[in-house]
Amino acid sequence: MDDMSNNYKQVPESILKRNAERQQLIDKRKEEKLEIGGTQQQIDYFMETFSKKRNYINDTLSSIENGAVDKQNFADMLDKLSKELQLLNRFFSTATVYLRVYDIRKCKQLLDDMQLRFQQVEESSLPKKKFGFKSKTYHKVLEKESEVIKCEVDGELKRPDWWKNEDHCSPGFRSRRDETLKMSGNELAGKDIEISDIDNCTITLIGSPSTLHVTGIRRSRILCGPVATSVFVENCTDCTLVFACQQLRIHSTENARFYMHVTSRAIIEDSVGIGFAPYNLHYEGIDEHFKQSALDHSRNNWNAIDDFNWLASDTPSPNWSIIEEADRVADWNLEL
Amino acid sequence: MGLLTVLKKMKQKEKEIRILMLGLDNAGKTTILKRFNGEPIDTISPTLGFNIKTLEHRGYKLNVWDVGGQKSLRSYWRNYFESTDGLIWVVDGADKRRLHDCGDELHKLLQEERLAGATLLVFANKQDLPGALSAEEIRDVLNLDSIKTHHWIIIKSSAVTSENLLTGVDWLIDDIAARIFTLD
Repeated sequence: MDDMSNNYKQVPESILKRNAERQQLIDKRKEEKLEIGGTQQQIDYFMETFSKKRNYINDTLSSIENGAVDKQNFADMLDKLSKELQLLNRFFSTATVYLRVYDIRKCKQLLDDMQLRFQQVEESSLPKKKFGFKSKTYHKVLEKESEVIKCEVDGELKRPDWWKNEDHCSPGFRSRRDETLKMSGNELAGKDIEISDIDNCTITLIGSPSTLHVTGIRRSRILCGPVATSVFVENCTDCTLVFACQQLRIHSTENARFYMHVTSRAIIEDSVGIGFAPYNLHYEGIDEHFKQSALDHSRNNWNAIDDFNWLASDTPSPNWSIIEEADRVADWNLEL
Repeated sequence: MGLLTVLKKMKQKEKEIRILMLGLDNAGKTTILKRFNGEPIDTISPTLGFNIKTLEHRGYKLNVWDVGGQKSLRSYWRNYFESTDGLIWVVDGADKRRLHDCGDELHKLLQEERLAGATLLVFANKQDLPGALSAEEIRDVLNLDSIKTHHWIIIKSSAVTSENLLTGVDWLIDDIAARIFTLD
């Protein structure tokens, strides 16, 4: 019986021992976790140690700079300092886990300063292989680096030399006053037509260009055949434009009337006083030009306009309206 | 791209790539997207908000975000920056007047922290138009050589004729895949 009870006791004892071991391990892990997790205590400890080490390194560097150290001991001294710096760097990087962002930045700056100072001391005190060019090249490299950074930050655009070259201008009309201008047929077919800076002109484009750009037009009238893709209108005032196209974008335009055929939806942005009416230009050969442009003759969304400055869908935008039938121009008096 | 992101990507069986397509209005962004997806391009309206398309290409799943380029929409571009792997910048090669605006907007974008590391593909689009500038000329004007923060390439393209659309996207995928999926 005695043996039996002894046995019983023995079993729990070994389990208890194992349990104690396990508990110890858990506690140890907890401690480790706490260390990694970081507390105010840890931060304080780091800051204290960091500043101590920093003072030591700076003091030593000062004494070397002042010439208070024997020349024979230079190499040893610098060697030791460089090791200290490395240690401090490592200490710092392990501590980044629990340090505050501000502290990390500050310490990193201090470390960089120290490193720089150390390099300068090293260069100025060690025997020079060649007379004094080393520090100069060092500065040069630095300058270059900051130049590169500056360039990226500004991202300034320089105009290349060929920019002013007239060859690069699209066909069309530029800077014209008080004139009647005309282009037709092959001058337009499949091309990107640009009309800009026009005052008091009437421009007639009989044909089917690929795209049409209209910018900076005042008190003028532009009549155009079917445009295969998009029309882009910007900065126009007191104008009348007549054209057919697939897409239309109107920007920063005031008091303008559009007689148009548009197969997708047109948009206006930063514009006021825009009137719309259906395309009513007729000339001989327009059917042929419609064919060239591949525009869908049966689909015209001339009165479905999206205004980027008017997001309410229940009330219509005050920036555009439909021109009353009585007020529409019926005949454009094309002189062909 | 943090290690966690890389691991996350690796975990996903499908290789997913998020591509953001930006550029000034009238550059042809939506047309490129539709063309790439084999949809008709003659009914496209100016984009009022954004279009998103998921395309399967070479075993990759491409989530392409095409955001409208009108002035009033550009301030919303940043809502789409998060976890972008590739940026497609579309330039209207025929619109010389606004090419400098186009460059300004691009360089502004590249300073964006959330786009750091994204691969940049520039399409010199509308090459079907006779007056369009070449890819080299656009590279000069946009000062692309000053970009040191991103992998980039400029390729001439035409959304209307489909010229080089595939070439460009293939390069983009290769560059992104080399960065993200190399550990497979």
